Formats: sequence, structure tokens, C-alpha cells
Amino acid sequence: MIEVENVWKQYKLGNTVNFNRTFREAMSHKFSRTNSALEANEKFWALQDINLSIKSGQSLGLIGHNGAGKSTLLKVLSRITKPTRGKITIHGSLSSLLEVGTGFHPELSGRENIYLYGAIMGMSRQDIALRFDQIVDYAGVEKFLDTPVKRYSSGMHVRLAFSIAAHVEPDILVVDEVLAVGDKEFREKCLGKMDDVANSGRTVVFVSHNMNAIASLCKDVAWLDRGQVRETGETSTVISSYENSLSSSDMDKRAAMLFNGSLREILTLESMSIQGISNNYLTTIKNGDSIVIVVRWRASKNISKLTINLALYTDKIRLMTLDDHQEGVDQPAGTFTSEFIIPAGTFRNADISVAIGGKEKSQNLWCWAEGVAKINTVSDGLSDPSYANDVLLPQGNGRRLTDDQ
Amino acid sequence: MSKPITVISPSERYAKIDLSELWRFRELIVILAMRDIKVRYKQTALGIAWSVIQPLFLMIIFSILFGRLAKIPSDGVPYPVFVFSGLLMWNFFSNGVSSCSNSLVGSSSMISKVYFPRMAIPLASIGVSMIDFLISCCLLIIIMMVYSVSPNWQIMLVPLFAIGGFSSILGIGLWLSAITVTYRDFRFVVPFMMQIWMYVTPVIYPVSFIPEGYRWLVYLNPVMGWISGARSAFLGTNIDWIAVGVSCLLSAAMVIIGLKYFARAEQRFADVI
Repeated sequence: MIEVENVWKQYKLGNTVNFNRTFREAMSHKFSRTNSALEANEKFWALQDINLSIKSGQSLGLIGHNGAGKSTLLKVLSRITKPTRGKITIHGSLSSLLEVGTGFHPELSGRENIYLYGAIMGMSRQDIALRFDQIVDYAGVEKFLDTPVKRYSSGMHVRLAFSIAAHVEPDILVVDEVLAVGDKEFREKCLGKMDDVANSGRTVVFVSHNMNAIASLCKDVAWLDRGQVRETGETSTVISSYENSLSSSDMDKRAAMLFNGSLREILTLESMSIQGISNNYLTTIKNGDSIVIVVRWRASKNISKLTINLALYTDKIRLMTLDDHQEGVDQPAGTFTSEFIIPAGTFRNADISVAIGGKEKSQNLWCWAEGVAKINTVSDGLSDPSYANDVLLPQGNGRRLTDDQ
Repeated sequence: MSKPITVISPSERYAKIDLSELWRFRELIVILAMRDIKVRYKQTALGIAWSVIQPLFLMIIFSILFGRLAKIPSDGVPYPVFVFSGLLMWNFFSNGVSSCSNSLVGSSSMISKVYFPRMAIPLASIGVSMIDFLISCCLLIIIMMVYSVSPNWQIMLVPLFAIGGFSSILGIGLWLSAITVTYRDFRFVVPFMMQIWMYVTPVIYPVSFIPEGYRWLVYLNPVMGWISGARSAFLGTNIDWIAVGVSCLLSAAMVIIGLKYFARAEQRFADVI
């Protein structure tokens, strides 16, 4: 059982974010008054008055934007960092998996690393020896036990780390977005394992951006927003209100903040819709459907030879880039729309991140924003798995629709 | 089976080190130390031989420079034996403090992602220096045989002085490791400081080399007792118990200060590192 009472966490920006805090800086801070005003502004509340009660055997999902405080809450729960105010009472042993494979030493063999990592997770040698075969079996690294971990593939690395963490068998398991790494098969295996943990009457606290994973694993969800608990309750209820909120105007502001480049002063994003739903941050699409993205822009001045680009990423890898006009067209001031269509079956199960931007040819001005929206493509179980585009290379097309002044 | 209850509360000004928890994690300390020892000579051709070559070469260089050329006295024992018996303890101290002070910064990813008693890291980092110390002890016995210097019963006291040396490493090392997390300046300060410290400590010269009026200064050195003690224990000369007593007091004070400072600082390691 976990009882979180009025927990606040403050971070100091600036000095702490700046890695090389030097003695001289600290000294000059002590002696100068001018800096103190500045310092006051550099404080940031990552958690604000968090109250949560997690019962034994409950599996709680934590959702929220990046920077909402989910990871901070997990860090406080797992005693990595102290809260600034408030109190947390934990009944039972807690083990956390915030990042896969921290503590592994690349030069040591798989076998040695199992003992090392196990010890870091708080297991005794005996415990590890007892579970050794299970760990190895689950990770599927039998053949490479005596190979240094630096020679492991990243997949093996992740599997081994998760396997050890999953075999700690704590009363409470805290898991951060670790499923972002590894392949789909591994992800399902992880989810399965966490499901087992939850079903065996232990408590699981789980952070993910993947709503499907949250929905399948957790009965209850807490939604964090800018350091506060915005809503807690039954998974489906909270997830739907979370997803609704993403479609509100908040997204525009987010997107506006995301833009880089000098063109952003002239060219601004008005709205964006995916599959006809505007300003929806996360869209889930069955892989039998084609993806239609419509972006509305406002140009405050005439822009010569403007091209609007859209790129799709998964795990920072660019999958495809589309433009609405190859050479660029002169765009008079006012609003206009670009439409991009990606044919059905281009992606099988993938988490895709959308980036958009514009480029002006004559002066080489540009603007660009990543992570504007997310698209999850999932198998609908209906379409033929071999169904794919006629061409192997991912393709799509874009066009400038209207010039509605 | 009763379940442990953990209460998490904000940082305290006067925090205590949870020694029982540290004891529960004793295997982690051993495994971390083993990791450092195993990894140390990975992908080196000579491997553990480096632990022999390094002090041996230092001894040869010092013997030529200070023994032969500068003709520094050595209390009646051959200079190579004299200098090696001092370097043995000094290297333990200096390497121990250096690795201790860099240990936390070197494990930043672990500190920010996993919970475990933070003190395990600096404690384990002394392991490598301990192995080196043991190797050097064997080496010294061989060198003594070569120069036909025979020890007496006092050699039994060496472990005692080693424990003393360990305590001063701990005291200074814990403090330095914690302060280096915030002020990386100490990564540059420590090597420099150790170099100066060696020359003000009677390692390569005997205490008798210092003019009598200034000798008391040497006694303020917290490692002086351990170095002179270990040397006398090996060579069978008179042990300077005053120096040992002072070092005892100073080291104990440093351990207490180090522990207190560490306990307070460790609460914000993850935020600062």
C-alpha cells in the first residue's frame, strides 16, 4: 500500500541543470545580491500537492504530458529523490524500473551483470542464484552468458535488464516508460509479465504514453497535469477525458511553443487535424485505414515559394517526409491549408510522431516542430497482414488545398 | 510475514546514515568492489602485473632521485626498502581517496535511476586500492628479503595500521565524493592536493629529516601515524605511538564529519548530479 500525502517537489533550474556548477559560482552567489532575484525565478515545482492512495494489489497507471511530473513522482516513490514537502508511506518492499539497464557494466559478462544488477535492485546473492535460471530463460540469453554485455545487441541488453527487474518480486513494482525501447514482441512480453505481477496480488505503478498498454494493464489511472493530479479513477473514464483534453486548444499552444526557426514569426499553425478530428494529440488508426492529416496555417505576410513539410518519425527515425508542393508556391498573407495523405497499410503497428514545418526558398527561412501529434497504428485484425502498398518505399502525397483569404 | 514500512519525508538538515540498511546492502558493496577490480585490467595485455609494475617503478625512480642523488637519509635501512615501506601506505591512502572522490560522479546514471544506499558506491570504490595495498605488502616482503632486512613481531600490527589508513580514506573520501557531486572543481583539486600532501608527509624522507622546531607540524597530518606506523611495523623499528594516537583522533573526527556531511548531501544527489 502506498499513501502519498501532500507531496510537493521543487527543482532548482539553472545551477542544477547546468552540470558544471563551480565553486566560484557558488561563492559569487553568496556575495552578490543581484543573483538572488534571478534565482527565485529559477525554481520550478515539478509536483504540487500530490495526494494518492494506492491499495495493495492495485495496478495504477500514470498518464500525462511530457513534463507533467510522472517521472518525478516515480523518482520520489522509489526514494531516488526526496520530496520538498509532504509525506509518503509505503507498506512493503518496492522496486523500480525507471530505465532499462542502468547499472550494467559493459565490460562484464551477462552472468556477472545479473549478479551486479540484482544486487543494485536489492536482491541477495542467494535470491539471485535461486532465480538465475528463470532470469536467463526469460531473457533468452543462455548462449551469451559469458560474453561481455558490450557485445550484446540492444534488444538482448533490454531483455536481460527487464528480466532481472521483473524477477526481483517486490510487493510494489514501479515501472516507467521502459516499453518505449525494444521490439513489439518484447513489449508484449513485458506487459504480460507486469500483468502477472499485478494478478499475483502485488501493486504495480506504471507510467506510459501508450494508452493501449495502460488500458490493458491498469484498472485505475491517475492523470497528472503540470505537477498536479487532475483526475483519478477508472481507466477508461480518465483516459477518455485525458484524450479529450488533448484535442482542446491546448495543443495549438503546445505546437506554437514547439516551433524552431525564424519563419515561425511569419508562419503560424492554426490547427491540425488527423482523420478529420482537429487538434487531437494522440490518434489511434487501424492499419487498414489511410491517414489524412490536414494542417491549417496563417501567414502574416506574403511568403514567396513556400513549401509545407510533414515528416513522420518513430523512435527518432524519420520514416517519411512529404511536402505539399515540391518547388514551393508563392503564398499570399492569410490562412491556407495543406493536406497530406498516407495510404493504408504503410505502417503496421507503430507509434508515429508527427513533425511539421515550412520552408521559404528565396531567403532560406524555415520553421520546424517535432512531436506535434502522435499516431498509433494498430492492427485491426481484419485486413490481410500481407496487405501493403504496391511500392515498398513508404509513400504518401501532399497538396496545397485552398487559398482562402 | 510482516512487511517493511518506509516513510519518505523531505530532506532533513541533520540526517542520519541508515547503517542497518547499509548492512542489508553489504553484498552490493562487495559486488560493486568486485566489478571495479574485474573491470580494471580488462583489455590490458599485462593485466594485474600493472599493480606490481607501478609501485616498483615509483620506488626505483625515488631511490635514484632521492636516495642516490639527493642523498636523503633513511633511518639506517636501505633507501629502496625505506621508500617502498612508506609508499605502500601512502598509495593506499592516495589512490583510495582519489577513487572515492570520483566514485559518485562516475555512477551518476545509477544514482539518478535506482535507489540503494548511496554510500555503497564510495565504500566499494576503495576495494581496488585495498587489493593494490595487499599486492604491495607482498612486494615489500620480497624487497626486504632482497635487501636482507628482517621484520620482527611488529609485522603483526600491519593490519591495524591498514584499518587506520582505511578510516582516514573513508573520512576524507566520503566528504570529497559528496562535495564533488555539486562542485566538479574537486576533480581537479584532488590530484593536485594529493601530490602536495605526499611531499609534506614523511613518505620519501624520515621524520628526522625535518628540523626539530617544525616537527610538530608533521604530527597534524592525519595519515602520518598510519604511514610511519606501517613502516615501523614492517621494518621492526620503534613505532611512533604519539603519531599513531594523533592520527587515530584525527581520523575518527574525519570519519564522523564525513558521515554527517554525506548523510546530509546524499538527499539531493539525484537532483544535482
